[in-house]
Amino acid sequence: MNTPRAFSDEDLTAFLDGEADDALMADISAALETDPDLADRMAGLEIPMDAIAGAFDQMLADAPAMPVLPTPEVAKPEPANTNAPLKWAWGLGTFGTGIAAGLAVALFTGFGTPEPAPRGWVSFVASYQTLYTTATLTEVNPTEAEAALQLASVSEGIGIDLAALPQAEGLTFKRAQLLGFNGKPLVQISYLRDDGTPVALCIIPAGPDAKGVSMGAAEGLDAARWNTPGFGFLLIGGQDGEPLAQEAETFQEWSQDIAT
Amino acid sequence: MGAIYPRLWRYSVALTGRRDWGDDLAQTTCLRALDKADQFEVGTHLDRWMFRMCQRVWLNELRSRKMRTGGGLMPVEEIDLADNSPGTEVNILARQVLSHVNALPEAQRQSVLLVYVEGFSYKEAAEIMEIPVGTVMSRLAGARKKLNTIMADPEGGQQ
Repeated sequence: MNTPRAFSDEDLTAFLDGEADDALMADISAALETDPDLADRMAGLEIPMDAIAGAFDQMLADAPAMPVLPTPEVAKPEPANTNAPLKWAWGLGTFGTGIAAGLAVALFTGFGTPEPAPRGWVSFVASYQTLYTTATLTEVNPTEAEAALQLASVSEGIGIDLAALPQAEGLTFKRAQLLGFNGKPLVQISYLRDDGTPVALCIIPAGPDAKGVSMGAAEGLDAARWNTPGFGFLLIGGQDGEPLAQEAETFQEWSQDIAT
Repeated sequence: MGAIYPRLWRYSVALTGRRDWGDDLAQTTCLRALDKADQFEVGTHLDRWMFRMCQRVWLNELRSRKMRTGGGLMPVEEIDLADNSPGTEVNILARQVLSHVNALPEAQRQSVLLVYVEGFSYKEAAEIMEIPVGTVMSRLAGARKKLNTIMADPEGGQQ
């Protein structure tokens, strides 16, 4: 265990992405304490994840409408060879428009299975949050003592002190609970905005690099993401980005002080 | 399938490096999916199945037209955002980020989109791209290094 270990860029990347196994995670974490060169290498692999995800999220708004497709009955299944060449010539500029014009009008509805969200923690949290309605939290009214108890409990679970969680304007604290994602603790603090919009502040252990607030969307909800060293934050809820941005600012300012 | 289409289109644009090709690839993938509907296993993830199919269609297309563009690098300015989103400064930043990602080799760009944008795990991304997990890691490590360099030194980073 004390033998110095050489880490590949792939190892460090897996560490940053939270994909390293426990042993590798522990080895790198320990080595980072004592090896400045390793920290430099790690810094050389850091990228603005939220900016990248946010930029690509904005692209979704530009996506064209799905073309009208024939019904499954019209389409003839091909043999099982999945690499069989397409029967449509491609490379001519008018290909796309030709498809839409030439096909039957019926919308394809054959894949009726609801689409799960096989994605990262933000996506899972976002899916969960979409289930919240005003009524979910209306009757949840903890006393100050109960709220403090909940916050103390989740603080212990996540490893940061949430006792001084700020009061964001327009948000009423409803509940703090500890969830889990891929074996990591995940804190969810639920609020109700004055207009009844459910909003959640979520915190999960993350990489060592701090990142500023980046606004985006997840599962149709507004989302603000930022990082402090060691923790990822997500404030999510509603579809009117302005209040969320202000609320995120409040929480982000506070989070800078709790970074350990 | 309609719910997935915007993401499929985005993936197609990232794969091909161009919006117009992305349009065609996403449409072709849908038609392909229609042909192969009987092979889809109910209860599995439709998006992964479609993404995997999308890549197959694209690889077939590359083979058939014997790509003339070399290593898969496409003009950087081809991925761009529309002007109708709020927040000009955000859009400028987003454009820069997209340009930087688009300047990556295709395989790295594809991996970045699947893992860092779509949020797939290494394993899931490997299954979609039909490559070993180790290759996903190598691609991401390479992408991180390049992006880190480009973003730290925007003047000298292009290609």
